[in-house]
Amino acid sequence: MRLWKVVLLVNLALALGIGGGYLWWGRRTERLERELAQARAAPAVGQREWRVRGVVRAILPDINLMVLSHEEIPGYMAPMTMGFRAASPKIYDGLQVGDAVRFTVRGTPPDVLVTAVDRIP
Amino acid sequence: MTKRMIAAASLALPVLLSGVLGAAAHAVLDRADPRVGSTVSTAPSEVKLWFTENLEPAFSTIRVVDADGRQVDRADGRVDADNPALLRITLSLLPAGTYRVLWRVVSVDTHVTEGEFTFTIAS
Amino acid sequence: MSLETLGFLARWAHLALAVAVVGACAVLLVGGRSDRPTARAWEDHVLRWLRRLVLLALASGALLLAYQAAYLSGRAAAAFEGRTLALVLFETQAGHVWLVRHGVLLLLFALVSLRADVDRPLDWVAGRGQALVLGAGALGLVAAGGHAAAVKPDPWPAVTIDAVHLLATGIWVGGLLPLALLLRAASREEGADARPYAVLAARRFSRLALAAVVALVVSGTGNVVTQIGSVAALVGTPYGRLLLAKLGLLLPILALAAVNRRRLVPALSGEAATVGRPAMRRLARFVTAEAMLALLVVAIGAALGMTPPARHQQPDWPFAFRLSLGALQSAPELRLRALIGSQVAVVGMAAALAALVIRSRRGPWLASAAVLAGLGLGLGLPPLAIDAYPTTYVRPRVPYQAASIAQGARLYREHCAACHGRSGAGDGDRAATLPRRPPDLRSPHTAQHTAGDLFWWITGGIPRAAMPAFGDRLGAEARWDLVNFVRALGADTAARTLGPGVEPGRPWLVAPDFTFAVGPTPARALKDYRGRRIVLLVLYTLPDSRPRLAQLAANYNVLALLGVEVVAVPGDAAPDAIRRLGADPLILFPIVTEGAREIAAAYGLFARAPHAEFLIDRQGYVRARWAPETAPVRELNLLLADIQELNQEKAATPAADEHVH
Repeated sequence: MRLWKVVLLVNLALALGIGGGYLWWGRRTERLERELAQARAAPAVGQREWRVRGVVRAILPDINLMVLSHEEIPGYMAPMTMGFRAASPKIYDGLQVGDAVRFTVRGTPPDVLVTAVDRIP
Repeated sequence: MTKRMIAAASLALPVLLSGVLGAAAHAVLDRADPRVGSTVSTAPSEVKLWFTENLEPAFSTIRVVDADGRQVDRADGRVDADNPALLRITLSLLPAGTYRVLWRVVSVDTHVTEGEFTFTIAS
Repeated sequence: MSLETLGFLARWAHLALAVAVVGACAVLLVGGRSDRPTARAWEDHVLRWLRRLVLLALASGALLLAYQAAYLSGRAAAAFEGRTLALVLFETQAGHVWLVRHGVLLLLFALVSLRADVDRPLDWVAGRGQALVLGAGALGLVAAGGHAAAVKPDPWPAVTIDAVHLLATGIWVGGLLPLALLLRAASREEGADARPYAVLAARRFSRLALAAVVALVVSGTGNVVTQIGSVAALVGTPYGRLLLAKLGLLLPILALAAVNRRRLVPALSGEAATVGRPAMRRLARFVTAEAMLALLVVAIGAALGMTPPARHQQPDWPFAFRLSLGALQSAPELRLRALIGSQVAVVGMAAALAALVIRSRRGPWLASAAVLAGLGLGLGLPPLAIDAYPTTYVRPRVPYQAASIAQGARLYREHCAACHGRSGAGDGDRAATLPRRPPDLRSPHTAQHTAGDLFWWITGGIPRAAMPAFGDRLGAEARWDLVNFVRALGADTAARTLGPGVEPGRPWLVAPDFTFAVGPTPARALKDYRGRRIVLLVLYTLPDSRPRLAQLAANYNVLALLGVEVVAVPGDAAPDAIRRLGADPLILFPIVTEGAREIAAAYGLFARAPHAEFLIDRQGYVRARWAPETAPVRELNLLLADIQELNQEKAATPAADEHVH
């Protein structure tokens, strides 16, 4: 076989190999990324419970709302200042603005309720 | 004459250059959380180090030890999946005291850098 | 021999071999197919060498890999451990690049070992062309595993530039030795048949080399900008000095190349016995010398690849002076001299350019140009010179942050206030006993010195002014804290010139970074708001600040909508600040409970008032400052107008560096 044909065939094979490899690898990366995104969203399925720290910013029992500046709620919410509803009106008892608290959030995001609040001394 | 000089120079060069290379200690740590040398009032649950270059996860390690040299991290040091220049490790619940963070990282241009710093948890 | 020296030798050998491979392929292609026996013999000779070069490149590459494994894992024994080698190859970017490059080299070896029939032109071009493409791939991809690959955020422009640099080196430097072989063979009596071929090849190569040198200069400049970036880094770091050595070595090579191109190459076609052959012999010698020098340049290139780039290094300034236009601000009488000097120098440089364009009487032109330029620089530069120290361009090890400034303020009261005065005015109790009154640290003069200058003085003292040295009394971080405090003092004076409202398009006052936390939530930094939110920093004191806080709280939704975060800092740093504010009004913006003391101490320098507000833009600059003593607290409508002004601004200014200078 003549050399130019050999070179051409080798280059074709290389191009096909690289192109195919890229497609396969790129597809795989894409699939993995999609799965990762799904895995991150997945905990939204079913009821979950978190216990995190925060500080009380406002208490409005009349409309069943407490505003808490809280740390990260893993897999659900970044640290932020956010309004929460309480599971029972009793939870508001004795709570004051400025209290450092450890509180429990339970539910299926985004429908979550605060089920317990303990003051951190 | 010229050739001999060139030969002599080429022999001398590696020696000269190895001297230069020996001086290659560089801090690529950009910032850390908790801050380098800082005193914090609440125990951090994680130590994060940001570097100036992206890291090679296979060769980048981090350890956190207490004043007696006991390891207090959860041995899960890793390069962040979203930010390849961020090295992080989680900690067990730490009592007040001074802690040392030791790191050894390889950047993607295959340079090794090592370093350490301390932070203090106030009682 | 140390591990590092071994690694360097392997790297040098590998780089030089890869360069030689590309050059050999390029010269063969440039010369073209010939039917003269001497030219054929030369081609076979080069091909034989090409096979050996590729094999050696593979071998040195394997050595380099072993070194890499030992270096990365920190154990010499790891060089021969299969597990570590696999980790390097499959888990690191440099390993992937190594795999691809050596795959390409293997392919190249197979190609040049192939005993193919290349008598027909198409086959010949396909074979030699493919060899060049593969060789170029193996050389150019070196860039993807080097410093350029670590450039953030996007490495690909830097990698491309570096690849161009490598390929140009390959074509020019690598082509020299094969060309010298051809010239020597053709300059012999029995090689006369190949002489026209050699002359043609030398001419074509000369043109190609010129293009390669231009590409080298352009891409090299690009590399300098990405990896070095400043004069201080060039003259003050190992990387920069290696580069200077490389440039110094390049000068004789370029001089040789110029002689070759202008004198010898045109003479090749002269009468054979008296002009042509002697010129060819001399050209062969000169080209060989050029190649030998170039080998040293490649060695420095290999060393550069192992040295941390200057950009991340602390420069050690080697001169006792530096040039700064700031010097003229305090010495107006020198401005005229500097101006005249600069103009004379410009005339001199114009004359030099003219000498290059006009070909007649070049000597006198160049001489007068040199005299003029020298005179102009001699006249104009000395007034710009101000004292400099080894640490002048060192970047602060401790960032310009509120915590550092607060710590510096404490250290200042303890160690410095006795002479420099509590406010920094130079009126301390002991100032009168000194040979020289301490300068006013609050004056704009302070801002003309770099942070490194201040660090040098604090560390070593100033003997003639009886300032003591603190290098052995305070740790390096404490001295940087002091530097940051003094910088903030200087910034305070400058801050007084801030108007009552935002000045469009003029950010200049860097806001010291700070970290804060609200209750038990994780700490945040001012830096985290960069590029996202405008920050209205409020230092407050109860009860006087309550109405203003209530007003901001009531309008927090509007402010948030406009991209503003309000951060309120209690001046007394009370840990129960949120409780003290109480439930009414409803305040939802961050009230700092941790870090307040440092923020109040640092920003209190810029506004000594119970209530002060700072508007910090998205690039981290203080754009407006309101404190009752200088400017009344901003009426809400005007504040919203200021914020709109910032929102409409295009972010042309680079983000404020937390380091000063």
